[in-house]
Amino acid sequence: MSAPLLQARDLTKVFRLKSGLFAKASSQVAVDSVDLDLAKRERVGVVGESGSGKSTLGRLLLGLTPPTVGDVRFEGVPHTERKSRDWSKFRMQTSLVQQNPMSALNPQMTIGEQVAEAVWVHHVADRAGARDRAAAMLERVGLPTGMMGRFPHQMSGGQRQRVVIARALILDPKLVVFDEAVSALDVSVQAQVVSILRSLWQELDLAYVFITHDLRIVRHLVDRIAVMYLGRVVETGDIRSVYAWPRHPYTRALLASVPTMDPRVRNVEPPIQGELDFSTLRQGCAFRSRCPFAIERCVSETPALRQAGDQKVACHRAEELPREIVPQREMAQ
Amino acid sequence: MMSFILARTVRALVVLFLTVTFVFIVLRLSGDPAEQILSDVATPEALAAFRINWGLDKSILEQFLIYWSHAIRGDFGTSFADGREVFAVIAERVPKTLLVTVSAFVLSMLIGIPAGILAAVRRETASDKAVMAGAVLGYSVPNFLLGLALIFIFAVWLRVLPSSGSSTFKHAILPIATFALFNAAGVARFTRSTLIDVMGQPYIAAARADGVPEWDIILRHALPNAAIPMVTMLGFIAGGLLGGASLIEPVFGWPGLGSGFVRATSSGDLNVVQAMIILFTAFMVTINLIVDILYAVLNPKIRLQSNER
Repeated sequence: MSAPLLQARDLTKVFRLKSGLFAKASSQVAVDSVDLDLAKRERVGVVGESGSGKSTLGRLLLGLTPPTVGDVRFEGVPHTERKSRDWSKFRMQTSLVQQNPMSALNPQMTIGEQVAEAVWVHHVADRAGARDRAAAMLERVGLPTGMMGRFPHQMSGGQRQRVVIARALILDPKLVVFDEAVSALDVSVQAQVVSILRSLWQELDLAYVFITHDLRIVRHLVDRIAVMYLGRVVETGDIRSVYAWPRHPYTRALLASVPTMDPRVRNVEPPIQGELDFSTLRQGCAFRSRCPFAIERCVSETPALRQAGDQKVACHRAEELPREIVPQREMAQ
Repeated sequence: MMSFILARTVRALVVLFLTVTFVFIVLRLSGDPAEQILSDVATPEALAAFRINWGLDKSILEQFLIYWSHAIRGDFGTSFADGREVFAVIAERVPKTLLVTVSAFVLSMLIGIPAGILAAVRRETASDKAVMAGAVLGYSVPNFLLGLALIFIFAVWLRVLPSSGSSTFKHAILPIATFALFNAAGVARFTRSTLIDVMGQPYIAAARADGVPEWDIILRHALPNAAIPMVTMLGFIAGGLLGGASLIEPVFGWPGLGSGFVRATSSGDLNVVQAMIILFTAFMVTINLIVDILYAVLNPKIRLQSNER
């Protein structure tokens, strides 16, 4: 493996919440001591339910919000040491694709203007040159050049998301963060966008972080996966080994909940209950209040991320859990 | 686009007609002008003569038809109070009110919009808090009270400006300042909240992630999108100018439409009140028309729909 393109160490983000003028400020840990490495052309999936901190992680990686603790290095340069010119270069080499393509596009600008913008902002070409590049890029994502003059509201959801992708990829970035990039689309459109992403990745020198709650989709798009729960990575490893033998109870529950088309499949994995419980964060395993396998040790001792099988898992009982989770047998042939 | 404007204009005329009808009826039902003008010591014969003289003895419907047949020809009757042509009474007041309201409106935008942008961009900093403190103060003090406070400071205490009258430009400064400060406070608050809302949109995050410089984002991405709600609000403020004039002009003894309207209403000078309400309504309807047209210009969704028709 080549030198890492992106290296995040001990990344932590704490939000201070203040509900009113006289309310006592409280704090919320969104991302907690996350390490993440990304090689050139590597594809990593970050999965977790809403509130798990995965979107914040994406924003931290791109330096769109400063971390409370920890640092991100891109090509060896820490974000904290970047001056405004380095930031400009970094922005040229990275991109963000967001969930809802309607709100991610400026309703007052034509899509041609929006796709071309980054090109002339970074002085890669003049306005006319930027326009030509935008036309070529739109064609690569399957949109006719005639659409350049359209406004976002004149397009379908799938077309809009292709515009967003064209906008993100126009400067041949080395790193893109896809934040729930296909979650808002209906299934047939999802499939289109996924296949566009797969073929573009073949052609480009691109590494990406694919943030999603959708375990069906991520499987087709990444090499490695990190499962997040309440800001922490609880399981990470090669996508095939994690799907073949998920070791963390949370990953197991997520995979067991993926619907299958086979009516004979019965879900025997004990379901997780309740919602995210932030009170468990201070000590012990954050997942214990919802975990069907929790024991007393999970209350007193915070599990560290450690090697278990082919992947890293943060669970005291990782080795004790049976391999079987039924619907999953269908998924990883 | 033309059919859009035409449709809105027809609607505006309907609104104008309905408002005038409504006001005509309400005014005639809400008190006897003969008693108001001649006072209650007048003899019954004098009152009856007054009513016959002004056509007030006829039924409301008859009065209404007579009124419109004259009004369409530009004849709004004569003032009950001094017998002058209503048209002349109003015409001499219009420029005075326009001077105060238009300059105050322009001034409030020139102060309020940049202040609001500054507060939004430097959110949660000292400059934001200073702008917002000023805006809340300016907005919560009633405008006539603000006028009295300015009179106290600049006319009574510092003795640099006259407190009432309209003979020189100096006389216009305090009414304009009162009006402008009050409205600027509202404009600043609204500009700030609208811009903060727009700056939180995902397409702003996308532009940031693409490396578009922050001022460029504000000018090219955020402000055009903030413009639509701002036009709505500026329309409200413009529509409220004449109502505000009725409150502020009397404070400064400024002889515009506002103080004229107050005087005509309290003395029961129906012809003057009636004509002024037509003027006020026409003004309001025009403002709304301008706002509608600006929407179409600013918002590609409306603009393109009307083109496709």
